[in-house]
Amino acid sequence: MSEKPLIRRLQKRDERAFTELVVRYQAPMFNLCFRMLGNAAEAEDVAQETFVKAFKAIARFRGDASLGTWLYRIAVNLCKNRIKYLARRHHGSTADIGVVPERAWTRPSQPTIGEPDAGPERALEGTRAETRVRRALAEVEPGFRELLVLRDIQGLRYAEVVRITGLPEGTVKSRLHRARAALRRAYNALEGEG
Amino acid sequence: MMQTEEARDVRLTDYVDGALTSEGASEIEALLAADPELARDVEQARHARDLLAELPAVRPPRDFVRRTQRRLRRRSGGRYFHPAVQPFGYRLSVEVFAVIAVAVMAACYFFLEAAPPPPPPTLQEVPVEAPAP
Repeated sequence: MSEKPLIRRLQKRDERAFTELVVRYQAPMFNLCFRMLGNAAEAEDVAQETFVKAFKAIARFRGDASLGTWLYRIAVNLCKNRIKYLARRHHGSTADIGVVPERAWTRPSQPTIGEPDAGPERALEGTRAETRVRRALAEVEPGFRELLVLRDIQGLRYAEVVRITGLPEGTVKSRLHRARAALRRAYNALEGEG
Repeated sequence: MMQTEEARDVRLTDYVDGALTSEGASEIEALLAADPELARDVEQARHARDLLAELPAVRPPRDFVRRTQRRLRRRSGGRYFHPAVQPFGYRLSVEVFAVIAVAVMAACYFFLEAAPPPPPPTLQEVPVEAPAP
């Protein structure tokens, strides 16, 4: 479905268009923020801020990229700023960003991301592996994490990653190779921890 | 021929993503066969990509939309998503609804108080008892 009518309505400050925008993009934006920040409360805050900021700046949206790509760009920048802020607040340590207690990142009322139909042991094993990946992701430097989340988690095309990050495609790919290797090393280190 | 480390990493990413032609892939595989460290590097990258791809999508909280609307309302000084009532299927803000309600009450009061009092009964209307004989 074409997004031009939605953009026009947003530019006319139609609040129902805002709701439509949020409904349409809430899932990818929240997922991106959660994977970047590793914490549900921070992710929700930044994802909400993304939509508010987009609504305020919609007059400047020229339509060079898709609305989704534009939202991703806003969200990624806000996430990076939040990571810096949190790092400062935690005395310069970035190691604990995103490393939250096992069940602290989902609210009781929120649907969990596990597999409720799988057997309990398998589900637990899956949760452990996932926690390890999440922690490993938090260990990777934000510039690398951004690429891993956009390409390997959100599954965006390179052209979109280029638009969002502003990096040349060659740089995206070479950094992604190093980012993937860094993630795997961090994952191995956590595996050793137990 | 790969000239720089960056160009090599670009090709390795293309290889891991399966984006190379069979010729390009064979070239990389020859390189990996000759360099075990690089082969390990590529294996790590491939495994990392698979781990991330298996992560489930995390859904936003159920009330995410409503909370985002509320945030916009706060940030716009109440311009958007003002609390509203829908008395007749129409969306009215609380202030507009209150003004209409006050106007209706004022109108009722005016008509009740300002209406002329009923005229006093005339003589003809007063029943007169016949005098006693």
